[in-house]
Order: sequence, then C-alpha cells, then structure tokens
Amino acid sequence: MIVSIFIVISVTFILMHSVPGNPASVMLGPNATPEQVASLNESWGLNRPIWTQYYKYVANVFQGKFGKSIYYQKPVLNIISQRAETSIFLGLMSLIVVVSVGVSGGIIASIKPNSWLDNLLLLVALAGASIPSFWLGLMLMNLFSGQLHILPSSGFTSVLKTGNIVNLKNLILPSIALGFVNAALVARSARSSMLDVLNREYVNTARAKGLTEMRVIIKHAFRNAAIPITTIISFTFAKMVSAAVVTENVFALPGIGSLVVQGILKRDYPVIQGVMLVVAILYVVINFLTDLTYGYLDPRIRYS
Amino acid sequence: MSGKGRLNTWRTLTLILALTLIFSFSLAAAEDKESGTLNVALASEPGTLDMALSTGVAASIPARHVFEGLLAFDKDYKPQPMLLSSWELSEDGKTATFHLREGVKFHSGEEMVAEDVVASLNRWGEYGLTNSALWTRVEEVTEIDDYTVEMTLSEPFAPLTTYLANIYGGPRIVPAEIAREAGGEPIDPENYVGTGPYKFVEWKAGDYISLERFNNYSNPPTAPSGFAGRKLAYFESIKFSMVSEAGARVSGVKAGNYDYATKIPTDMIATIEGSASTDPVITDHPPIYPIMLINTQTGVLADATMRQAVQAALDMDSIMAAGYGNPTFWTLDGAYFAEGIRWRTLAGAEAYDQADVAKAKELADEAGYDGEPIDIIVAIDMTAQYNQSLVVRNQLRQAGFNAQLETFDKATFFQRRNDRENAEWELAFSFYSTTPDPSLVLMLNEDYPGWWDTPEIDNLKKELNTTTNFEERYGVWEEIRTLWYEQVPAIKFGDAYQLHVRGETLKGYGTEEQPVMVSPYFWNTWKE
Repeated sequence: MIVSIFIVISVTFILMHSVPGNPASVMLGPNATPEQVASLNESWGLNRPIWTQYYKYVANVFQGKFGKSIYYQKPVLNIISQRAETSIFLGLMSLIVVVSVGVSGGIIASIKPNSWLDNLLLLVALAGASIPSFWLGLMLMNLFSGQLHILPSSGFTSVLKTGNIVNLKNLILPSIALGFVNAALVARSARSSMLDVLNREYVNTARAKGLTEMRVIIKHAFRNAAIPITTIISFTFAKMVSAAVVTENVFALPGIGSLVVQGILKRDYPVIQGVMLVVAILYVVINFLTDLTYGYLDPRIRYS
Repeated sequence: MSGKGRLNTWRTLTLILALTLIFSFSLAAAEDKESGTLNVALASEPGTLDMALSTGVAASIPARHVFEGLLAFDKDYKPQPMLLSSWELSEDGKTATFHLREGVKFHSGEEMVAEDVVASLNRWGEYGLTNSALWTRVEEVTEIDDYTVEMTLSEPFAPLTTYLANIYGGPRIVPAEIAREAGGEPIDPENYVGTGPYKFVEWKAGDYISLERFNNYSNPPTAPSGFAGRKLAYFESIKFSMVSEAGARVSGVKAGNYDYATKIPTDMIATIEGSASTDPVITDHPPIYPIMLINTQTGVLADATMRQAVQAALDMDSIMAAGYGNPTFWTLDGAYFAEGIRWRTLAGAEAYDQADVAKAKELADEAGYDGEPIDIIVAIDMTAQYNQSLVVRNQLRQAGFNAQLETFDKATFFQRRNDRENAEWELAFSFYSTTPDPSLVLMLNEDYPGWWDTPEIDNLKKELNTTTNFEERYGVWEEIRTLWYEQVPAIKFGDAYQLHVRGETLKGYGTEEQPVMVSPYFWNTWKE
C-alpha cells in the first residue's frame, strides 16, 4: 500500500508541475502584470527548484502533513473532509439506485432471456448508458424543481453538522441522475452473470429438488453470480464517490470530484495532490473490502 | 394661557404627532423590508476577496459587501466620499488631504483610524494590481491625526480619486495589523475584516461564501447612488453559492432556491422572460469590452502595417454575433468607452469594422508578409472569446493570413499570454470591464501583454496623467484613440452586455438611484 501511495503522489506531483500555468496567474486574473504574478508565486515558494518542492512535499506527506490550499488558505485535509461528506452520501444514495435498478433489472432480465421484458430492460439499460448524466440531471431538475417545486434544485447542507437528515433531499435528484447512468452497466453485468449461472447443472438440480423458482434464483443462482456483480458495484461506488464531477457541477454539490477539477483549473497543487492521495486510499480500501466480501459469498475463498 | 399660546401648543403637538407618525411609518416600512437570507448563485468561485490582489468580477460581488474604500462610485461612476467625510487637494495638486469619517467601526469592533488607512494604502501601493500609474507618483502617505491622512505626490495626478474608488482592484481599508501581516499575499479569509454593511462569516471551499449583517455599520450621510451613499442592510445574511452550471442557476432561481444568479447564457433569456417567477437583468451600465490583444514586440505583427492589415480584415458584426448571439446583448462600437461614459470618443474610429479584404491584402503586401504563421491563443473556458477567435481565424485566412488557433485552459492561457520573454503568440483574446478613467485602460500599460511601448504613446500617457483639466485630458484621450487605430496595439470588437436573472420577490433592485451597475450589489434591496 505504501508503495502504491508513493507512486500516486509522485506521479501526481510530477504531472501537475509539468502542466503550464500557475496558481498566481489564476488568482490575480487577466489584469495582473507578469511581474505581479511572479511576485506572488515567489511568496508561495513556487519558484524554488522542482526537486526541492518534491522532496519537501513527500517528506511532509509521510509525516501526515498535507499542506494548505493555495487558494483557500485552509489545511487540505479540512477541505477534503468537508467535501467527503457530500460525496459519500451521494455515493451511498446512488448506490441504492444502482443496486435496486441495476441488480434487480439484471436478474429479472435473465429469468426470461430474449422475452419482451428482457428486451425492454436491455433498452432501458442502453438508454441509461447513452444518456449523458448532465442532461438527465437538468431534465430532472427542471421537472421536479422548476415545474413541480417538490425537490430542491441544487446545493447541499451538511447533515452531520446540522443533524438534519432532511438535508438529504438535496441529493435525491443527483443520486437518481448519477445512479441511473451507472445502473445500466451493472444491469448488463448482472444479466450476463445470472444467465451464465442459470445454465449450470446445480441450478437444474435445485429445481429438480422441487425448490421454488424464487428460492432457486436468490439462494442458488444469485449467490454464485454475485462475485462479478460485487466487483463491478464496488468500483462503481468508488467512482461515484470520487469522480462524479458532472453530477456535482450540475447540482452545485460540493463534492470530491469537483474539488479536484477546480484544483486542476486553479493549479492548487496541494489540493490536487491531497485529493489524489485520498482517492487512491479509497480505492485500496474498497478493493480490500470487496475481497472480504468474496470470502463471505463463496466460502471456498479463504485468505491466509 | 393666551389664545396665541394655546395655538402654538396645538401646533407643536400636531407637529410632534405628525413626526411620530412619519417615523412610525418609516419604521414599519423598514421592518416590512426586513428579510432573512439572500441566496445568490455565482457562476464561478472567486480566488480571494482581497480586492488589492484581485480584479475579478466574481470576487468583487461578495467583497464589496464586506470591504469599503475611501471613495466609491456613484450611479454615474463619479467618485464620492465613502469612508471620508471630505477631502481636498492643494493648489499645486501635489498634496491630497483625506478627512476620515469618525466612528466608523471595523467588523472586529475597533474604530477605523488614520493608521489603518495609511497601512492599507501602503500595502495596496506596494502590491496592488491597479496602482502603478498612481503609486509611481506617490512620495508618502502620512497620518496627520487619528482622522486625517495626507498623500504627497511628486506631480499632480488627475485621476487620483478614480483610482481610489476603483471597483476592481482599488484600495480597501482593513485594520493596520491585517494589512501589515498580509503583505504581498492575499489576506487569509479568517482576517476578512472590513467596514462594510455585511461581515464575513465562512467560506466553504467550492461551495459558498456566507456573510451576515453588521449591526454596527456606520452609514455615510449621503443618499444612495450606485456603489456610494447610504447602505441599508435589509438581509440578515447573504449566501453566495458557487453554481457552475448555467441551467442549474436558472432552475434554482425559478424554484426559489436562489434570489439572484449571475452570468446566464444570453440564449436563455426567453426561458427567463417566459417564467412568472424570474426577471432578466441586463448589465449594460456599462457593458464589457471583448478585445483582441496584439503582440507589438515580437513576431510578424511587431510591424504596425501588419497590425493595420489585420484590423482592415475584420468584420465585427460576425465576430460579435459569434461571441454574444442575440443582438440584444451586443452593439458595434468603434469607441473604447460605451455610450453614456463621459470619456467616449469616436476619434480614429473610421478604421473600425472595415471588413476590407483587398485593403488587408494590400497592407500585408506592403509590409512584406510572406505567409508566416499568426498564432492566435484563447482560453477554451472563456466561451464567447473562443467563439470569436474561430471567426477571426477564418476571416484572417480569407484575407490571406496564415492564422493558427491554439486553445488552452485559463491558467495555461494566462501564463502563455504573460510570458514576454518567450512570447509565442500574435493575437490573444480576452474581455475587459470598463474603467472609470482612460489612464486605467490596461493596454496603455507597457508591461501589460501586447506591450505597447512607443515614444508617441509614452508622451501622450504622461500628458494624460499630469493634465488636471477634464477638457484638456479629453483632448489627449482623443489623440490616444487616433494613435491607437494607427498603431493597433489591440482591437476592440464592440460592447457586450451580460445577462443575470433575479427572482421576482427581490425588490429595490435596479432603481433610478441604484441602477444595475457593472456587477450586482444587494444593500437597499429586500425580499417580499
């Protein structure tokens, strides 16, 4: 893990410092003279040799110091933790949509392959994969906020800080927009995994034993088809938490994805490096939890 | 008591009653206007609210509610005292004495005194973005007593008060210790302490900036006018949210989540006008100026005849239409300053919008042009400028120029554009807010990209800055504009207006005293 993290922070650092542009020119805006830009960069220490900056950065990271955002003048970890709440709630609520639409749709489609229901669900999955999430988001916003006035159009107020769970209503439309698009992939994958398993002999045996079709599908077929589905869901979740940039922008949600994009556009190096590190850790943790789930789903899998 | 005495008593009582009633009605009216939170959706997040180090429009909107300068522009963009009670200039024009209003409190509770003003002005002078023309003439800023500051100049500087009132990048007064601690770096948000009608509360990165009413605000005695005069803070708090998606900003105002939203694409005006809950706001007082900078120092356009050739080739109608679409939002204009600004002159403007390909080719031949590339740079996230650059490239190609377009994100664009040593561009696209005085026009600054630096402009600039009489200065500005069209350091395409949207419950906005200015302000406004 430490090696992975070291690679991530090194690559991020080198890539970001190789890109032209600097934070002072963005902060000072189009009216600043080159001298004023150079002067501000100097006061931030950005004129030091790149290797000196790199050494200092890596040494600080391994001491748990992520630095301060150039733009916001706040510790990077504070900014990330503020944003993480939105992203995690958005990820979890979208996951509900992904699982309920994607997994159940895939299972239903696999029960009667090539039937009208299967074709309809495939069409929905195709639409989900094809519709841009920003378009879906704007349509949902226009309908439920602009016309019906039943859900807020954008923004998110902290649930943890205010203790008000009702604030989650701000995430209903974004999670539908984000979840529906991702559910399509999961539905396709669930369908093919289930079809593969439903043709196995032990499924026929289960049916021959007189088990109900529901029991055969849920207990025998789905459990064995669940491993590839779990893999896809876990990485979809990680992606929805860390890279829901479009959805976050459409609904003005202060999440991790938009933070990294804004960081890149503003050349806020400490923020970009901090977010990339946190996202790398997130992927490692989710990978680990997914591996543990395999053991639960298939007792034959054991880790020493 | 005599009859006359009784009559006087009755008169006095009637007068008291009338005054009481008027006062009560005023109070009731004021209470009616008391509003909760104003929600404003900004299109982009400011870099900092420290206006000494920012000229950004997004920064200026929240910042003007928190910080104030010694002077502020009224509705006609004339400087009026804000933190001053009065000021005077010595006969030789070299000493300005500023008398501060007494009892003005910072948000920290301390009174603003001369020491704070001196420290803030000195910091701005040393590091500010828009100070150079003034500060090269300032010899000293001294504290005479707690409420008097003196500025000594090496020579008279006509636009002194205009510089001090400047909306974008003018000096704002902060406590002395904060000014000294910040130095050349942007003031830390924790130290956003000003004298404005709202105080800074929180900046949640990428999400919102929140302000709350400053109950000890010291109002200037003058009537409201533009950014100057009395500022009544009817809102308990103001929340500026960052909403980058234009559709979300409009839907948000329609749904009542926001009361005001900035920078709406002009093609959405029909949606806004078609909704009962929203009203369009067109910021045409004054417009913004889309301008193409030209590298006058290196490359094929270092030759003024070649720059005249480029100028001759352009058809402004197509360029403005590409950038701003609906003609409601743009006007062709050969003057630098728009209609209604006292500096407006059409001197030299016969060279504007020529669309004369034959002349362009002739001038290029005269300059010995041999197909060298003309590199155009533009930031792809500045949509109007990008659209305009596509049209300009095509028009130049049609006129026989080898025009190449390179696009970058903003940060890379600014770095490329500012790099004078290795300038690899001939044309760079941008847009500018109007300036209240010609001496603040950036293209006149020899250090600004384009680097217009000829003996002729140098002499005229000196004359512009030292002449104090308006008519004479206007004459100099006319000469500058004529020279501008001859030496072509930059090409202005026209005047463009921005579309904002407000909820119909927002009242008091866009009145005669407080018209829609170049960017919004929310004192003396309320919600119903």
